[in-house]
Amino acid sequence: MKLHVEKLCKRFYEPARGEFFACNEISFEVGQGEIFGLLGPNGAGKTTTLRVISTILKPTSGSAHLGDIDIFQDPDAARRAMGFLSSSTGLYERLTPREILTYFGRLSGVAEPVLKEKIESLFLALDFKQFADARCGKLSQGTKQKVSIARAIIHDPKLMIFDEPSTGLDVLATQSMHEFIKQAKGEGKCIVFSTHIMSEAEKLCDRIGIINDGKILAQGTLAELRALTGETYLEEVFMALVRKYELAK
Amino acid sequence: MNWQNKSIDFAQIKLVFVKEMLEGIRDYRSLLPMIVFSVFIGPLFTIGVPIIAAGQVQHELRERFVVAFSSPPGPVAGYLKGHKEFRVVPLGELSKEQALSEKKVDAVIFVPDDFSDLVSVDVKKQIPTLAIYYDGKYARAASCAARLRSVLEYYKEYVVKQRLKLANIALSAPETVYPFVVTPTNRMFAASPFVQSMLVLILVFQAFMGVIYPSLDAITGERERGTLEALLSTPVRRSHLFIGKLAAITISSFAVVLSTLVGFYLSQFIQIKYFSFLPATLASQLNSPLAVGLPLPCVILVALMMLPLCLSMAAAAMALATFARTVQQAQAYMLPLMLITTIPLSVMALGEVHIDGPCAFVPFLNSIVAMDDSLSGRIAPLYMLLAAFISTAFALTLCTVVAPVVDREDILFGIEESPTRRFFEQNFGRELFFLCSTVFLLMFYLSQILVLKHHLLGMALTQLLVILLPGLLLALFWLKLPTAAVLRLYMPKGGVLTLIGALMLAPLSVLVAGLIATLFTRLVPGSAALSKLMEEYMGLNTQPLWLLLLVLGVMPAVCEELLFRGVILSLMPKRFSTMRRVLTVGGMFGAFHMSLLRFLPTGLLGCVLTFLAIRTGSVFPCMLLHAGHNMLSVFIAVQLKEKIGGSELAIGLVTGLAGFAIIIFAIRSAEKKEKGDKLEKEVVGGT
Repeated sequence: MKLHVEKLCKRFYEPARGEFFACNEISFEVGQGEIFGLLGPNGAGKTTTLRVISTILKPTSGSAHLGDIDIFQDPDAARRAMGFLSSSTGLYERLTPREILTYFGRLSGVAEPVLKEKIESLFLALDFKQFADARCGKLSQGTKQKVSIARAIIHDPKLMIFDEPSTGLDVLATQSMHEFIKQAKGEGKCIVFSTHIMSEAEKLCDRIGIINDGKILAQGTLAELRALTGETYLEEVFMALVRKYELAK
Repeated sequence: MNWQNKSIDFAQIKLVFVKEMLEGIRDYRSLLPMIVFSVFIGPLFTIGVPIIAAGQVQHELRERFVVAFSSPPGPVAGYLKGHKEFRVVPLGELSKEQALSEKKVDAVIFVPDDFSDLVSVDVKKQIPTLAIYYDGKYARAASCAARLRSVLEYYKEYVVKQRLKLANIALSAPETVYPFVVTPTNRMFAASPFVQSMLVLILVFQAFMGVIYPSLDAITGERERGTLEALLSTPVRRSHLFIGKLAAITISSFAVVLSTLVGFYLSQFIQIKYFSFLPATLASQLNSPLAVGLPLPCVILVALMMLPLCLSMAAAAMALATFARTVQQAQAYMLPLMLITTIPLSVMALGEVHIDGPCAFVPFLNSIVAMDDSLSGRIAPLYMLLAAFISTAFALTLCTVVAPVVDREDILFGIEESPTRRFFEQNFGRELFFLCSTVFLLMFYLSQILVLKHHLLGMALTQLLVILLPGLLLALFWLKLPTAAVLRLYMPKGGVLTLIGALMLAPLSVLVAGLIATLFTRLVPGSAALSKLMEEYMGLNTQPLWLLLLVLGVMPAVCEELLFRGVILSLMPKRFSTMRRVLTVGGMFGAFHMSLLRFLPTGLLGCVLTFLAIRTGSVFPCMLLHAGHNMLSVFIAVQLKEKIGGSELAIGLVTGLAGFAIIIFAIRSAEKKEKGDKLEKEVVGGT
């Protein structure tokens, strides 16, 4: 199953700024077993793009397909096939991780025996079994984020969308999250991942889209981006592309 | 989307419900005070009030009023001695003003020199009067004077009897008046007057308290904490999400109500125990006004009546919370709900309101009145069931209407479209929702009060204040839309012919409406009585015909058309097809008449009127048809006394069909001419 996003636009309006496009003709593809990273500064349009793809926002124009599913025409089918984790999603503080996973699993229509097994396997894979029955309000930031990840993929989606998943995590937690994403890639999932941390993108992503001001400035493998800009480090690649964009404007 | 997707998935609703309940129960710091403290409200009133009252009585017994005479007391002093609450002291050197202002005495009695309780020599002589002096500044002095006055009233009676006796006038005693206490027939279901007087208010307030926190938590809280975003990325249906949450919030509110009821029920036993400690006379004195009598069947019935109220309140609170971005905002939005719940209480204060009429159809009012009725042992099972059904339907409809708002981007993330774009795309959903709910709420409450109190004048005021004013304010002053365009104040397509045709449709529309109403009267018992009642209220048999035609014929035609075929139709989203617009505006027009009996005929008329407005591009043919319809209905009711013969039917049918033909002809020829003009222009332009 492949994610294909074509000329996605989302228009915003703010009294002070007037109308503007938070994402402007965004197009990219993510294949099976591939990690695509959206790399950009804060306010570049990463979260909006991912929210539109995950059907939480309606696009102003453009299309997105996940395999045969037209995401915007048949959002219910799309929701069953994708898992979304945004940096601002919270957890029910008075419920335990097990209860939250059961709730979301059932809402997504996961069959009961499969669900139990899946929950246990996620506890092990993300390493928070010892907190399975503690209230989420009492958990550390890292464990909360793990629960959020587990919540997003409890229904075994083909497409995983992670919006800045390492926000607020320490080194260890970040490490274990990276391991998990790599494992998911190994299972043949399509993964879209946004971050503003260059090293994270460099380490995880098969292909990277550099996003700024609502537009994808360039996309490709790290080698392709290096070749395009003549720079070595991703940070320099990024700066070169932004400078070029600003000049062109 | 296939039909299966549209069916209700109870498993999903149950999931949401169970999760909400679990979360609610775990938040014991919020929930426990709500439920536990509610138990103490009953005892607080039923024990607290008698304790205060007993204290007051004992205080009055201990603290006697000090009274002095500013003249020789004569026989009055002897009479006062028999009343222990007064202590008579001499005034001494002080003047009565001094004694009063220095609070040496509470009151001074002046007895005229020639005052005597014996027969006066001269019967015609002016009878001298006793006077009571007190200082109005002091509450104690005022109550002393009041007590003195009532005691001296008895003294007057005693004097009269004495004089009659001395004059040897045989006195036959009047029949003794004795108040009989009539107990309600359903004694098992009736509460004591003390409980009746306060329980309704307390329970309504408690139900309100019970929905605020859970609705804030379940709707706005979920949005604020970021869990709603996660929920919206699952395939759960918005309406199911709402109904699941509605059930949980209703249960929470009901739990608060139940614990209050339990408190009241138990407090009657504590009160009996308390009274047993008091001196017997005091206990019996307090018992009659303050006794808590709340039989178990009454408790159960009241609880059953409260459940629909909790449900409709929960739905309203959720609907309000949905429009708030933050919990603080949502708290402020709860104020209108408080108003909505207090209005029925004031309607009830108007007097005898019972659940045996149109009141069963008004959400909030129906449950509150049903509960009040069940407290006084007045049980009307059918209407009570109807009230419960209406409340449930109201709650579910509100949920379905508001559910799509839950993922609205402007509320969820503050993402707006620019006003210019909204104007261009005619995207006034929010404003339309606001206008319709305002008009419907005003119709529910203000209009009912106006019509009940002022009859025909109330009807006229309803037309002006409830129907015309909000629409005009919104369209012309808030949105600043062009007047002629929004109200469709144009000459209709087809010109005068269309207008004549529209007027000619009126007899046919009256016939159809009459036919539907007759059918309905047979199906729904009591509806005939309801229309009879309406006739009486409107004064159909007492008011002059011209006034009836003006208020019931012309005014609704102008005001309702400007609102429905003017403002509301103009604000309908552009994407709606003609059919959808006709059905929506027509259905709203039917529902707005607030009568099950009139829904079908008025809804149908509304559809015809809306279609006419869209097709002719003008509000005037609608006004003519509407006025013709209403005036003819009034005329038939008043002059013909509803007696319609075959000839009238034939005339109605013929003119109606002719009217249709004329309108179609007029519009067609106008369109043909338009086309011709356009072609001509193109040809002229081409050459």
